[in-house]
Amino acid sequence: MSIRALLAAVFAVAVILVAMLALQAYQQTTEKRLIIVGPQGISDLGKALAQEFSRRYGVNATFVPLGGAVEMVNELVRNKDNPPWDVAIGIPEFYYTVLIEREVLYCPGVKIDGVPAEEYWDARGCVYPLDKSYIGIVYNETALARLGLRPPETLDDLLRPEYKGLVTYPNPVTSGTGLAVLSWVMSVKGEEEGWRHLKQLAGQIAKVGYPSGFTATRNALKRGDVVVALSWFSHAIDPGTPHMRAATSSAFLYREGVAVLKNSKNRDLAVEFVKFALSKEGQDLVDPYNYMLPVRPDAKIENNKGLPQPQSVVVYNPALGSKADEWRLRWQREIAGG
Amino acid sequence: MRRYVIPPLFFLSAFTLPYFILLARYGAFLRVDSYLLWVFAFTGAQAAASAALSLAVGLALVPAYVRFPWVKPVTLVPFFAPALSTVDALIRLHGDFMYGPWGIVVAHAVYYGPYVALVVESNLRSIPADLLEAADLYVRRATARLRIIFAELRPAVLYSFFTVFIFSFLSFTTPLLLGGRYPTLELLVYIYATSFASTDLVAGLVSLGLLSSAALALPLLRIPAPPPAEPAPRAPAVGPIPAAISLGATAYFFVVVFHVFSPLLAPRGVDAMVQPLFNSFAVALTASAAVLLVLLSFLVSDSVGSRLPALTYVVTVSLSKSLFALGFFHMAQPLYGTLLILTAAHTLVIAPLAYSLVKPAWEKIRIDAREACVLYLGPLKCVTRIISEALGPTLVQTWLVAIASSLSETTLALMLTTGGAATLSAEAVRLLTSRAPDLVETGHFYSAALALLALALLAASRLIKPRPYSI
Repeated sequence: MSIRALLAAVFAVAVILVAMLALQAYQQTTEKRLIIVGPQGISDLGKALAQEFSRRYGVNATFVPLGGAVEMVNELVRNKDNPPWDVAIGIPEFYYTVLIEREVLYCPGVKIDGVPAEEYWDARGCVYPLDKSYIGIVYNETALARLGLRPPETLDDLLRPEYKGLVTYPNPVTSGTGLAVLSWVMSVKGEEEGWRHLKQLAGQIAKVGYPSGFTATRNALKRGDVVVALSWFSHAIDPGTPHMRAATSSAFLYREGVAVLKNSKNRDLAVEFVKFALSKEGQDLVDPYNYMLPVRPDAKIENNKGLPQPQSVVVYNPALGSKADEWRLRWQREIAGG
Repeated sequence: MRRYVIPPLFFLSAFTLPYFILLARYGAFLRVDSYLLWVFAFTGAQAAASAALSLAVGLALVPAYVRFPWVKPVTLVPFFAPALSTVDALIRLHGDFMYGPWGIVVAHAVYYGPYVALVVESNLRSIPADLLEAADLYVRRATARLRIIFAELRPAVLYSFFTVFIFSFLSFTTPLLLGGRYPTLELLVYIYATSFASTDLVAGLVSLGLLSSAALALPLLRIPAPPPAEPAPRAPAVGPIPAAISLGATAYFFVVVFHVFSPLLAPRGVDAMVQPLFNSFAVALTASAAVLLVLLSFLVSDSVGSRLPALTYVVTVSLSKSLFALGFFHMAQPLYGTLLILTAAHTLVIAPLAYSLVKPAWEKIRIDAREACVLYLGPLKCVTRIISEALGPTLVQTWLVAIASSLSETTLALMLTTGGAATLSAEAVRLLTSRAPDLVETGHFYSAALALLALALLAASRLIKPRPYSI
């Protein structure tokens, strides 16, 4: 085979592939279908909502997982002018104002019957409540018993020498759970004391370090590489992490929502999706697929019947909203960077 | 003849446009805070330490290269394997030490030490035999003999030290996989542009990154390249003690290579690997074909005496890839997440490297033969009909290297397709940095598979029967 014939074959294959890729790209940017984006940890619910919405409305809806919740919010900002997605789920209450300030969201202002008024946390009507649960101290009961240790009850307990190398929480630079931990610590202890606490806690962190998000944390707990975590109470009812229990003295209420992107190519369909996600049918999927509590009182709850109930609940303080990026940056430099 | 200059001119414009877009968007101001200064200082310090350690490792390997040439392919595996595969292997080999400040230096020395050895060995073999014989006959003290040899090796030492300094200064995947605790400027651009997109922190890095690139490129233009690898009539003599020490250093590389491939013994996540693997090959095949087209257009331009292709190579070699990726993102954002945007970016980044591989072979063709060909057929027909056949094996080798290079690429994939079509390298990085034990183990397998693919392609490129013009 001559070189020119070989080059011709290489170019022919490349032309076919480019045509394929161009067709894919064209479909992605023009096809009438709904692209739902959400954090990796919410994938099961995202897929279930997309599938049910497609079935009921006769459209093509797809869920795309994108890192942790914080990472997703930043990608939404980065791509705000021409997003490849239409609607986002899993937007955390404590990190949504950046989306409003950067004009990423469309605010349809629709009212959905059946969702109690107290569940709405965005007064501007841009982000709609989807689900909620608790972040707190969770621990592997069996592993602690094997080590002869008492379960920790408070944040201060985690600094005790016997927990050195056993604790973790997700990386707040990318993870919504991690940023919730920061918000909780700052709310409970105040900023100055909060940073002192986090720096001391850095000395207690397990060998795995700070996992990238919910899925990674769950995986580390499942394998027993981490014994104590600042994470979801739902680990205590998750069959995948059977030995996990929750310290119920205090917890942070994590609320997440759904919103339409301002520059969505299918905005009307996206608004319909928001309505569906908050309908009884949509909310019925929350508990079985996301181990979270639905915001509608009439939605089905099976898994969460056994969810540990905290004695005191710390609710996000909106006055701290603008601090999230400052905290993440400081955490990146002083805690992750040592 | 001007029309033949248009393709490289267009290429150079397309390559530099992302940087101008960044300057237009963020301004040409230096906004430096204490943390940024620390990162800048760390980037420079680790690059200098990496270059020094790579030189030490390279010099330690040279006696083995001379006495036992069969060790070369093995020691060069960490250099030719994707950076993520080598770092992953080193993390498994050295554990927590790699997450400390010296981890990045050790990783760079393991990649670039064998490369330095190759450059120095080539220089060593170019020393005239009569000089070596005279030194053996008339110089009694071993230290004096060594001084004479090191004086001859100066070009290789300087060149390899500076190129390793540049490679290490622009390091991205290594500090990312080492936990990001000690970031380089390249990694900080990525972190600020993605995880802190809600802020405008990246604006402060644009000017600093571009100024650093310019500062790195200028000395590169002045440092003479080391003499080419021409086997000497007799190899320089290597005593038993240096050979034994060198074999010890080589043994370490055998251990590293074992760790690069050992995850292949425990396959994981094979089903989930299919789609990213297909995506990687789709991008690699299209980008490498486009690279060949660019290459031929550069040769056409070369044939009419244009210096533009050579200038393009010098401009591109030291520019920040993270900043390029960020600028390219702003330039082609409507295609974000698609494989098409990745193909275009890979073509722009890999083409200058490919040109640097073909250029020496092109220059080996006798100048009168080139001129006659251009005169009678015209530049375009000469290159596409005659030169492409003459340089055929080199072009095929370069094509395979371009595919391997595209498969290994991570910076562009992470910046341009997160939340869209994933490539195998991006997926491996995502798994390896997740800190989830199961996912990390799957990441080990992916990184080993990627190394196997890249090295198989490079090995295939060495099997092609060369012609006198081949690389």
